[in-house]
Amino acid sequence: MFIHAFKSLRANPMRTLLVFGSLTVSVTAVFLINAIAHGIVSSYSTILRSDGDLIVTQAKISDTFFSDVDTALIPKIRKIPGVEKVTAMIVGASPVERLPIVAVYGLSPERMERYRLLRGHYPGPGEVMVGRSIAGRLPMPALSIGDRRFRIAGVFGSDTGFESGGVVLTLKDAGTLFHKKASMLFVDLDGRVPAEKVIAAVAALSPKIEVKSTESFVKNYHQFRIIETSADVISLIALLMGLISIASIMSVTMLERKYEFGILRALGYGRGVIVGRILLETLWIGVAAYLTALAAALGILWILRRLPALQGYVDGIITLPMAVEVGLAALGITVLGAILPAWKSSGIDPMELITRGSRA
Amino acid sequence: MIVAVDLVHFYGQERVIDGISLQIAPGEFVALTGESGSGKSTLLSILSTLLHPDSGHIFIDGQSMETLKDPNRFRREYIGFVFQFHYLIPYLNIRENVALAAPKRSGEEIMELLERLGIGAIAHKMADEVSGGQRQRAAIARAVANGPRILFADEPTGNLDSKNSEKVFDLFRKIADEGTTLVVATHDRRLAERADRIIEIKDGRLV
Ligand SMILES: Nc1ncnc2c1ncn2[C@@H]1O[C@H](COP(=O)(O)OP(=O)(O)O)[C@@H](O)[C@H]1O
Ligand SMILES: [Mg+2]
Repeated sequence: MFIHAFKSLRANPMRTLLVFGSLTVSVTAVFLINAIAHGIVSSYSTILRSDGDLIVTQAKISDTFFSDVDTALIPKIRKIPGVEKVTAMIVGASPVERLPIVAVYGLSPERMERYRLLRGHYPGPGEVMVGRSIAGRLPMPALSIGDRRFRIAGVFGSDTGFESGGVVLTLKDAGTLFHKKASMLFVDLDGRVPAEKVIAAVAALSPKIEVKSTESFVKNYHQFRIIETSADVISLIALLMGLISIASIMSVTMLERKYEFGILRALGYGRGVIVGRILLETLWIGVAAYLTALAAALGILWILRRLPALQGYVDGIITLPMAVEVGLAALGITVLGAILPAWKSSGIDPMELITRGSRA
Repeated sequence: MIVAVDLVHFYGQERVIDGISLQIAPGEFVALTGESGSGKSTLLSILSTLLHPDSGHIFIDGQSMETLKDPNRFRREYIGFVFQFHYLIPYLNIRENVALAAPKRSGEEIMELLERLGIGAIAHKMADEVSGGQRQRAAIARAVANGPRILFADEPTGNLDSKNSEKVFDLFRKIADEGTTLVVATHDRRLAERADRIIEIKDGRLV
């Protein structure tokens, strides 16, 4: 039966190619959208997780871009028992020279050291350091961010696309650019007081702030849920499109092949065997299409990561669970797209299949 | 023993089989004749369980076809059918097509059968690579490969010249003499003469 499936596929190269093509395109799309969404979420999570046990943001804010936290809270938080260190960060985005949008990070001095300095020194007042991914595309001694000019102090590297494609400056300079004191505060704990107690104590300082453990912040961050949900919805649409094209190709071929099924039925083969034969044929294609799509997606992501215009921001990641999940989804649509028409056309009297099939 | 009682079948409004009852004894070679459109193919399909009649009953060796538990197994083990057109599966070669009808038979047994029907030499060719006569013999090989008790054939010589037609009927005579029940639809009176009995139908009724 394995060999029969193979022969059938080879005998109908056009049909085989069409099913293979539509499946490959839809699975590649699913891989890309999920990989890119996962890349965005995991990059920003990495930045958020990099430092600090607690995150303090403005209360009732949906996006950290809009968060504004008063740095006057920092000395007060430092005095709370169990707190070891408090740092601040501003996250913004702005045109930089000819680049239309660049991530801009304003950091308190302690946070600077997290960035691997490749050249020069960490920025002081009126200075920036620029990420490796965009350094080559910026003019050298000085640049404009928005309407202000800064001297380039150095170049840094980072494994996170959002960082290596961005610029870093002092908290104060970033504050002037974005008209705020800080986007968020990171609180390190010394472990001597339970986190919940510290969270409560920090939260009590001001009604305008929200305090969460870093993990719970990342898990519940609304923007991540939006990205992930969008990716799920687009994946579903891509899969449905694949399913529809496979099912329609299959139902056209089922018409052509009715007499074949009629003969098999007349020879005493049950519906299950016929469905099984068709399934086996499409599974061959399914496996080939899945592997091709995986390779294509990895290739496209590799290119996107290196495309200068994208500044390294599109850093798609295909994880093993994702590969398994997409594999199962591809398997699902292959099976459905093949079984439905085969099942439908194998339920009639053999002679009707044979004569209708040959008349059609 | 095939017993058919009051078979009726419609295609749309047309009463194609109009109350046919008949009996065919085990080992009998019956020719079904009649003009084109008289209902031979339809009757053959119904008798062979490949088509459900709209009403009427069929018993084969005392077994009612309506209460048959496993029709697939019945077709696999009891029935052989030679269709009017060869209907070989195009992506399989002759040997594979024949083997499909008898999955339990070994490769040698299938080859032996092909040799016996004079098509051993083309076993590895595809259906569209051989002559009409060879295709028809392959279709017959497929029909008898499972050693059926009843062999049905619908115009098995319809697309053959007279020499090849003779050969096919010689073969059928031999199969019948070996004890297989044979029901063959043909509009060729001369060939029909070689059967044990001729059943003639006209407008869906026995004449
Ligand atoms: N699948 C079908 N659908 C509709 N009409 C059919 C079909 N098969 C046969 N008929 C009609 O039934 C009648 C009997 O056909 P058939 O049994 O093929 O006769 P024969 O084999 O004697 O030529 C004819 O009028 C034919 O047009
Ligand atoms: Mg006919």
